[in-house]
Amino acid sequence: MKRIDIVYEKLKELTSSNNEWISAQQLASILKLDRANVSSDLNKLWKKGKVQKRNGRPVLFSVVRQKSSEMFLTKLDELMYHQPSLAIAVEQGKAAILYPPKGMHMLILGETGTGKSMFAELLHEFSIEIRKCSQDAPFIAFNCADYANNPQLLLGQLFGVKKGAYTGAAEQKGLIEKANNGILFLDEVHRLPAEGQEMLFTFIDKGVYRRLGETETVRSANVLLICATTENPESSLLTTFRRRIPMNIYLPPLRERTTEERCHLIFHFFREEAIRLGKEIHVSANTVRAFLCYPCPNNVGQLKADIQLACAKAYADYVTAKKKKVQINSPDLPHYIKEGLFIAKKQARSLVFQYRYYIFSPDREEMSFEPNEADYQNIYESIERKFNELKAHGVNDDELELLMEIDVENYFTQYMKGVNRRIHTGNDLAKIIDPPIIQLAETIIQQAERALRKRFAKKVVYGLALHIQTSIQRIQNGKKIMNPHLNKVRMMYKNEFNLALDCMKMIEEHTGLDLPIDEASFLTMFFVLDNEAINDHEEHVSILVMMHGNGAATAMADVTNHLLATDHVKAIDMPMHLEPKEIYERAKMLVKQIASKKGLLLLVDMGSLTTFGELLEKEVGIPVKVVSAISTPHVLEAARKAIVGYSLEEIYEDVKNVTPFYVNRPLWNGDEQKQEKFVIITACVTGKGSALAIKKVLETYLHFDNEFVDIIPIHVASEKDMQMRLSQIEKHYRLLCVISNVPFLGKTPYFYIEEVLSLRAIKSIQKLIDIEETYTKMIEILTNHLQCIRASEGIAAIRCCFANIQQKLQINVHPHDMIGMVLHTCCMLDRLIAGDNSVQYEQKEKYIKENEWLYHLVKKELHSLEKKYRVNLTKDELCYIMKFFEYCKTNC
Amino acid sequence: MNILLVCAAGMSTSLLVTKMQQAAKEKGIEANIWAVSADEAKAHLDRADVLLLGPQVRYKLSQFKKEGEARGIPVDVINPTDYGRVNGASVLEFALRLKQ
Repeated sequence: MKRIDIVYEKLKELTSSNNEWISAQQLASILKLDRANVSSDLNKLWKKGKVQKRNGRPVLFSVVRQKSSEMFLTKLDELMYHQPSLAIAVEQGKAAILYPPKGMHMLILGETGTGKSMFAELLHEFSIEIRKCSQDAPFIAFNCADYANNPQLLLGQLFGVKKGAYTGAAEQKGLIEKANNGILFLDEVHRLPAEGQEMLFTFIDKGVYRRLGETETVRSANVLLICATTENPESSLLTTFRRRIPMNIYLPPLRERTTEERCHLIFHFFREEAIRLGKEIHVSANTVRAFLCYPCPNNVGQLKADIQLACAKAYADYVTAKKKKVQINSPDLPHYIKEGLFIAKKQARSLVFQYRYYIFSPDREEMSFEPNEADYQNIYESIERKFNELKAHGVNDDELELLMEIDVENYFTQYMKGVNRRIHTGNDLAKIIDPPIIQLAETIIQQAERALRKRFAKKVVYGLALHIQTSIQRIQNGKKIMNPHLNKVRMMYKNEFNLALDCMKMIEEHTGLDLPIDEASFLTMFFVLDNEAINDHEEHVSILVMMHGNGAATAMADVTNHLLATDHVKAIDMPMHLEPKEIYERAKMLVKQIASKKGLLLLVDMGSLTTFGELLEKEVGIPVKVVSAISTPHVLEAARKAIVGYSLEEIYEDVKNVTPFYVNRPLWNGDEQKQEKFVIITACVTGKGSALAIKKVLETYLHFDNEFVDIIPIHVASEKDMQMRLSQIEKHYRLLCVISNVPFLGKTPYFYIEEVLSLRAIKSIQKLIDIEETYTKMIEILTNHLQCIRASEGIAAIRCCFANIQQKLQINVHPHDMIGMVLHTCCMLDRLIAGDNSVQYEQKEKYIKENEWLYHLVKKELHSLEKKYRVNLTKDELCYIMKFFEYCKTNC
Repeated sequence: MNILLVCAAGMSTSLLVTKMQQAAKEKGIEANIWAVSADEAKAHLDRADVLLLGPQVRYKLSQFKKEGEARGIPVDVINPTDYGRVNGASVLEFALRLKQ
């Protein structure tokens, strides 16, 4: 053993247990070594991060206490561990602190109560923990809103004041000076008045500043700035900040965090309160549920305050002897928190709390549960208790049974769906599940197949394997497994249940764990469930995508198959060099393989492909329908409906009506819109990370004016959630397009994330931006030119009418052509209103006669303009418009 | 330099004409710019050096191209973005480039 190791071991022995400190001299005399050597070893160890030291005289040393994992976890890491949604923020924060040489200024963005101040403090601690700053590095927090209406005072606070700078001014140090070699946290930085901004920018750019009233001396300070704001980062003021502070850290609001994270926060706050009160706090399961689900607009801050309030109230009841212990039940909660209980019920995923009370204790880290004596094996008691609890809520028996049933069923259908979505191949499976468990699942299914004399779908093996893995983990983690339906299951499916008991033994042997009998009822569900899953083999309408070019058809089919977790959609690419006949033969071969009696839906882009339908119908002998000029949403719609068993006719009709991809609709209703700014939404179900990544891609590849377009990344839980979020955003913006990985069928153009990542969609999105920018410019120009109508209003109304005409005609006019027509029509309207009817169309009567239906259609759709502006559109004018659409229709 | 603009009824381009005239004046270019409807265009063709179509009458391009070729007049469609923004300077430049 080298001397340095001996020193380290001794120090560990002496200081690791009870947080003691020792000087080099003391250690040297204990080890009978030279003080200078020991001191040098200690300093070496300190540099390696194995030893911590406390400055002073003498300098004291202590071993760095390591976590069991032998890893040095900073507080930030802990935060990230408990709040995975903050992972990106934490990584960004660390990067900014570590950025050489002095760190990088940061701008923290987030709603009120998302923890911006706390995050800044943690960054400060982190910089000390990793020794980027010295132990005593200052952390100065300042809220810019404090003196917002007195800029002089605020500047004095920030930068300091020279004696005599104004009447009675005393020499004063500024916060920047106080924060030297540390961190200055500027909260609500958007409230900083313009004067302050300039001085701050000088400081950011050059690291120098002057005290108020100083002209000659220039002071410098080494300060890392952390700014925070609740404002929209795109707002005009902040853009200047953002230019200088490139590191923007976004803290997601509570609603974007997972249930687990929220749960952890709740438990953490309750424990904090327990410590503060020095008393055990008993919290009912329903209370936890309510806190988990109630709408909490002011985020973590509010959650904490609400929990504190609930605890305070419970404590008051305890002190006034209304209650024997500090106990919180859901009826005691304020109304808006109790609402969470109703929301919790509506949620599909079950929030499992198997304990009646959660007990938070000031002394122990872990919480305990009541009733502890209630053995979970005693399922009767547990059910009874649940019954009673629900009954107390006024639920009758029938409903009760139903409720509990729904819970269990829900669990299972969700579960199998999840399996389906997550796992496509055995390879994927092996990444998630230990191979021995897969083998075990396979053996069980084989046995089940023999015993029950039926075949199971492959996905049941996957599902079962995943289920076994999670059950084992649950049990190993001391979590409970229970199925309130045990008895029902046992009665209803005797054979399967007995089989499940056998299988359970196999699992027990394999893992060496004891499984509760409830587990058998879950296994039973797997064996039973497949009866319905067999319906899967029912025939569905086949779907074949064929498109010109290399890979277009395959890509569309892949996207669809991926999104719907199926392989139902087939594709044939048609490279330009291949003869149609050759392609046809290929298609025929494939169709013969996949054909089902229910028919085939052929989705093609154009040209000779459209004629394939009839041929195939004759030669293969199944009904075939063809939809041409398709895009991904068509394929998606077709596949979705086919999988759930719609008929060919139904699917054909529905797909035809899917709004085409590059919707030329105006992005708003005919009414005028106040919102001037456009927005591109990137939405993601897998977390904000990919939404942010997409935003970056867009920012890199698109050309647009920041004043004109915003890109907002959001995290959504489901399609429905997305609709809701979008309608909220629409209050402030005009939606330009949506980029998402959930199928979204709204009036807004949308793209799939894959299309953006592969840059295929960039051109289309750019087009959307350019066109809207053009219309905006058009409004500006026309505003000065038009005499009778307001340009913004007129253009919106006209675009709306034209969109309807396009829909009726089932054509897609190229947006570029449309620009000209809109401009024309707007001028035309203005002219007519002014009384100028001079425009003639040669042989209009003849033309109208030849195209009577088009005349009526255009006239009808434009009637809203006539009504709005109380003007008659002359036949001549209508003819020009008709001619335009007629041309577009024949050339589409 | 004679520039003829053609649109559906000859009215929406008149705005563009004004802007182009302004641009020409600023640049010190002597240009005669005027707009007519598609039906009238034929009669004006002989007086024009360049013929520009509004995007909404793009469908007339092939017809006018033939007419233009016969007379040695370049014919093209105005960039829709410039048209929509009534960007006179840009369209003027486009016309000058066509003529070269």
